[in-house]
Amino acid sequence: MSTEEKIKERGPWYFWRNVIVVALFLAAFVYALTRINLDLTLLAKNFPSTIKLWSAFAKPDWSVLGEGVTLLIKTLYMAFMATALALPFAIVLSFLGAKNLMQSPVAKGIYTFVRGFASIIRSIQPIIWAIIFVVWVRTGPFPGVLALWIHSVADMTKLFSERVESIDVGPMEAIESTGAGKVLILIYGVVPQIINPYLSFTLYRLDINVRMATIIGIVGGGGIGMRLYSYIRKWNFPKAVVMTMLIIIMVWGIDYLSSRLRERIETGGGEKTKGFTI
Amino acid sequence: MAQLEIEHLKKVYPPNVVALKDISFEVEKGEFLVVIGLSGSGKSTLLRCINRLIEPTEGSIKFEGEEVTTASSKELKLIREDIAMVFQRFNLIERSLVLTNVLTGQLAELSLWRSLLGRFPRELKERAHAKLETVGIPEQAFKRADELSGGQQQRVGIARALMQDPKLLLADEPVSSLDPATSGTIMDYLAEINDQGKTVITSLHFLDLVRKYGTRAIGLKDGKIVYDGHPKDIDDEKFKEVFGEEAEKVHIT
Ligand SMILES: Nc1ncnc2c1ncn2[C@@H]1O[C@H](COP(=O)(O)OP(=O)(O)OP(=O)(O)O)[C@@H](O)[C@H]1O
Ligand SMILES: [Mg+2]
Repeated sequence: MSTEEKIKERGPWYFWRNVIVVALFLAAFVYALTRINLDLTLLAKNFPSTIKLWSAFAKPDWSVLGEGVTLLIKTLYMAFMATALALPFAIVLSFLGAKNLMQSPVAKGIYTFVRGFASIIRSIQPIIWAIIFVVWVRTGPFPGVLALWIHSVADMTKLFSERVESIDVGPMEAIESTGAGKVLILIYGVVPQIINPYLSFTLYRLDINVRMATIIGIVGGGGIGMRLYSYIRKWNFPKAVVMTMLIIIMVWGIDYLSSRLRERIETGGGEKTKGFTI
Repeated sequence: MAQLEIEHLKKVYPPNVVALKDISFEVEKGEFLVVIGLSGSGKSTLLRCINRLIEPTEGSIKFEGEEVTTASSKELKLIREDIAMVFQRFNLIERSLVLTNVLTGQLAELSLWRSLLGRFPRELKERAHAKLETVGIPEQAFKRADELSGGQQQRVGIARALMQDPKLLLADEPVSSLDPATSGTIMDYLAEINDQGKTVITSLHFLDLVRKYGTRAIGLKDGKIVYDGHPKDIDDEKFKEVFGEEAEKVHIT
């Protein structure tokens, strides 16, 4: 059967399948509408109370600036600690989770376990991990760091492994052919090919962790986010605004720094020499 | 005893691609053996079985009297130290310096911690420079490998092989990704190495190169040896046997 014939053949079925999919989607949407209270009048009715919030932006309470900066630095520390502690774990796990390096039956088992575990952990959001650890070790920066750490390990393991899986086996083969052992093949054949992407992913993850560190504060994960949330709950908007501004500045700054650094790693700041040379 | 003795070598890629069947031949020390054959005839497979980058399925390969096919990983490493390899795609560590690339030919001789830290002894570095001098690119030592042209990269590949001070050099289509003039230069280096008493086994696609450099040619077809003799004796009939009726000579010469 030619491809054209095949398309003709499956034509009607595909048409009805699409109709069914669209119909189901519409039904689900209408059902959801009836279940959720989409009361738009609330937006208008409660507007005056938010004026209090917005007007706070005009008169921030700068007395908490010092406290805010200290908390900001603490939050940065949390993100930094989580990323730094995740890195060595992710490096080791990334090799164990790279299909092309794990060929023997035992190795394949390890590979499946590592990748499966990583994707399960990754699929649970850092804020959920924060709740788990807050329940476990009580509120503060420690559960926050743990939450970011575990999610970072899983996320970096996945990204790193995929990178290892896409390396060129040529250099490894060449080094193997000289009579060098596995460790040397890894160091000379694999590492030069992955070091820049690893650095780049790590910076990217640090960037994510800084954002996440403020969010997980809300569930008791410590740092500036936790204080922001407590001011909001007390309806102390002038103080909350200062915290918010500080968070915006920090997130923007780290985002900028991290992307500039990553750009540098990937291009080496010049045309010819890309990245670091080993 | 010949330097390399291959007996009844067979390679089956899973699930059932028979790449080599019942290959037997011997290579004497100092030969310049060229393996020819159409694409897919098994040239790369044969060369890679010799240093076991590919695991042979059946048969025996003896290098200087030692069985390669059943060697333990430790024994295999020692055997590999005496067999260098040059690749069609060069297989350099592109992000590393040319000098580092040459030095990797000598990793096996280095203590582990030195290799880990990349601290090569001065004497080795000097040797690496000397090898780059041998292949005519001493001034490229501190460039990154991927900044070099193809011909220069293959010279680095040869320098890396020389660093091993091998007894046997395997070269799998060393000039297939190079232009004719550069190919000649690279082949001249291989010939020079051969003149110093090192055995060379290489696969080539150009019959004029085979005739010019080879002291012996083996023709492969569908994983079987269909020719074994002097390159100069490959007449039209032999040629057709190796490359098939349809293969036009112009493509090869
Ligand atoms: N890794 C592999 N898995 C399965 N089959 C393979 C593999 N490598 C090679 N083959 C098959 O084995 C046969 C011989 O391949 P080989 O690469 O040795 O040929 P070659 O003579 O080197 O060809 P070329 O001139 O194209 O390099 C081919 O049929 C090829 O498809
Ligand atoms: Mg080949």
